[in-house]
Amino acid sequence: MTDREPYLVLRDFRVWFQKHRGFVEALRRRDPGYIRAVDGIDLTIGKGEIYCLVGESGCGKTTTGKGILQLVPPTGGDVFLNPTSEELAQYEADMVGKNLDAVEAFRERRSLSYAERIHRSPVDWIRHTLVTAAGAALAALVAFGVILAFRAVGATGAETLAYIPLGILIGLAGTLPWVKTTHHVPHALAGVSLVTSIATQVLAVGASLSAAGQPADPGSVLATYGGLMQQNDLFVAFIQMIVAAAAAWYSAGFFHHMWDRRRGVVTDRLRKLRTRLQIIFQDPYESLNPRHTIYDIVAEPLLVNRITRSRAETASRVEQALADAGLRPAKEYLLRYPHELSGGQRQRVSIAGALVLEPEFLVADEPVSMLDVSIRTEIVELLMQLRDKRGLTYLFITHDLSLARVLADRIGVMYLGKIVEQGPTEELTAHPRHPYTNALISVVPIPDPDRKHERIILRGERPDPSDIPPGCRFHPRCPVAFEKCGWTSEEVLASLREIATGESSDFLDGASAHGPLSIVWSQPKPGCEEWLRNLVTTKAEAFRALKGVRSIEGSGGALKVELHPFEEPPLKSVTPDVLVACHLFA
Amino acid sequence: MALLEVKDLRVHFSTPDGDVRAVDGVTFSVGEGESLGLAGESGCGKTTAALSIMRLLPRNGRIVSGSITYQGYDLAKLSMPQMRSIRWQHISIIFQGAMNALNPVKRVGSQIAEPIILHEKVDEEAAQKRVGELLELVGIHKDRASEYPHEFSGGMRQRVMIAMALACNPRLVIADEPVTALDVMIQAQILELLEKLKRDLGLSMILISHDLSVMAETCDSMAIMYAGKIVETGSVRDVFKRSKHPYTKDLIGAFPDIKGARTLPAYIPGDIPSLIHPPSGCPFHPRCKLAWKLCEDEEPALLPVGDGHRAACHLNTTERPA
Repeated sequence: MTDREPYLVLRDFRVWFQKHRGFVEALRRRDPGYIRAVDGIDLTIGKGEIYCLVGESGCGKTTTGKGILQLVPPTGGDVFLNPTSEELAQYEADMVGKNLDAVEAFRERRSLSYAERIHRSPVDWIRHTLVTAAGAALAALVAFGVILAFRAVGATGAETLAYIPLGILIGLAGTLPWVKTTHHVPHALAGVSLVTSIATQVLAVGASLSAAGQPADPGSVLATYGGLMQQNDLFVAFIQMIVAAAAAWYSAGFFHHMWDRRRGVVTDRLRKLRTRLQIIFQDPYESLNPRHTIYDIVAEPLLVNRITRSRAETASRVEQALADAGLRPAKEYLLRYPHELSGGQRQRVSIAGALVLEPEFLVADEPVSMLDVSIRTEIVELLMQLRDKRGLTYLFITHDLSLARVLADRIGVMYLGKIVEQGPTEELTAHPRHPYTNALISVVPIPDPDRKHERIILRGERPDPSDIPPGCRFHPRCPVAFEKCGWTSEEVLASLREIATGESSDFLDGASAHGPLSIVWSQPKPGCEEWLRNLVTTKAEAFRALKGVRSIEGSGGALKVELHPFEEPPLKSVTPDVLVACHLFA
Repeated sequence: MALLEVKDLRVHFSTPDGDVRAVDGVTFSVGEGESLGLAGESGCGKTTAALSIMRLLPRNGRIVSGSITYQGYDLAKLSMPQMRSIRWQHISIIFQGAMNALNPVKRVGSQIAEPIILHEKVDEEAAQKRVGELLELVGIHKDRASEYPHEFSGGMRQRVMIAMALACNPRLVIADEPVTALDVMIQAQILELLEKLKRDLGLSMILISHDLSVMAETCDSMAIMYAGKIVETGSVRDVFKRSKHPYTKDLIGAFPDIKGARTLPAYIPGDIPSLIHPPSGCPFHPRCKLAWKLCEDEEPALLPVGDGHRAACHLNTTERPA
């Protein structure tokens, strides 16, 4: 790692998006399916460090940046801001030691993304509604029971009143231990209503019986209770019950909402954080409101966060921020509109807007990719100066490795939502270890016609993040994938089919996948086994899926191909600084 | 013998503020099977030059003077029906921004078939057969012809645009920023495809880009444009290795090199000049580190500085006063 104090720490950070489904689909399938844009990232950025995330578009680098600022809600994992090294070490130790209570406590206290926001499916929603409704109905029963109890006891109502809080207490005591997460709240509420209802009614009827000098055993209490039901005016009670149900429904929802807000950092805590964490967006032509003047744009964060006390103070801070962003003299820019500025100047306005709150951490999301090459360096230089002057920490997101190379302290390479390699800039660009990093670096064009170099062009495009390949997520495109990288029977069959079509042979007839790791021919053609053995030895370089074949067995007229078992390679240290997620380095 | 020769081309746009001299006396030529790179910052007139070759200038733009000679015809003077027989069958263009250049409500196959039916007067069936061939040529399975553009990724859409440009077997393809909005990996795939097509079909190509490093890898010769003028032209190696213009040097210096030194690349301070009121003398002098009095007063001519290598800078002809 670095010798810097940690500033921003991500642990198993995930941002998933629920896939869009039609209504019928939603009814038929329980699991909605997720687009796993960011799928478990561990990252530590030191104070004053520039950390670059690179990768193809759609690999989740922008989503990571937005997720940290909670511009998109994180699905899971944690973001810790400014933890001390000791705190972090303790947390890691607790994680390893499975000291879950301590871990949980630390997360609740420090994690910015602690809210376990589970995306609800329609089925969940229906269940949730039913539970809330049941809770409300039971709450109404309480009211009903209380009414009955009052009527039964008649003159001694004042005494009965004392039993209601007692009933509620019994209910609370009985059901509160169920409450572990947000989602248990409606269940608990329903429980409180149920127990309260029964307890109050039984207590009241029992009390009235003993007040009348009658035996108060369970049998006679029940009999009295049934009798009371028949005597009463059910219509009036019914109306009262509906009113009570509405009140209970509303309070259940309100309670639930408050609970969510308390658990997530949705309100004040997050707003305060936003003054410390800022973002510069990619496209300065689209990220500035065309109907606001430069002053309005830069002053807005001050106003919404109620930072400044007077107009003069706002104006002076806006001017300072513009000057810091390199727009001098700042006064000249205040009353202009974005369309009057060039691309570079607009990006400086964006930077000024981010700087005006004097943040500690900036997410720079491709801040120069829309700008002309001739002015990119100006902006990059400005960002680096700001780091030196103010000790800013950056998460710099870019797809341009040659740019990352000149400005980053460390680089993380992302592929399909995971970091596949991370290391100090010099080391990573000079000696890429992961085959993906290697390929990415090899295709960066070099501004020198004399230096021709081997380009490793990956075939195809990155797979769909809603359907991430098993095993190593890079294996289908990897030029050096081998046995245990994650070849499944479907992939092997697809390769075989391609070869068979090319040779127009019919050896594949009757072959089918049995689970992910075996292919079975029920009635193989004669010579099929030899054909397969031959392919595995001769074609495995061109059709890498064939590398996954572990054994070919023909017995009793059936032919069975077994594949190597596989697992996803974890991100492991190769040297003290470099982490790689690849089986080649396991 | 050059396939296309552009001589002293001037293109102006009329605006309420006056005429914008987008292309201001540009001369270049493309040989048979050659690829020429047109490079420069945005707003330097690269795209306008390309559009005027195709005679696709917007309504307020006009070719003021100069000639565009293709096989003995001056394209600048052809009538629109005549021009129509040149487009697609002789010269075609891959437009900038593949993401938005396709019609979203028409199937990809029928969009490619459109120029074929229009220009080659063939029936639907023959056109669809050709579409299948073209798609296979650019590496897309022919069954995908019946899909809509939104079902394609960015790189695939760019391939479709390339297939469309090749629809009527042109001899010259103008590629306007073909890889700009794409990822490095897709960029490499597309450039490899263009190179392969150039080799296999013997195409001539004009590649327009602001990315010099892309040109270093794909072009034979190149021309650097600044404020509507060509400031340096020659073989790629000459321009990169023996640059004779400060702007070219600055522009090359602005590119970070992943295999080079780990320093911030240089940048060119200042903005590109107004094309309505261009600066006097050399258009680059307000931003040039080496400019002196002569540069303000007199515009340098594009003069030979080597074999097929020309540059427009006083430094090559006059001793700079200390």
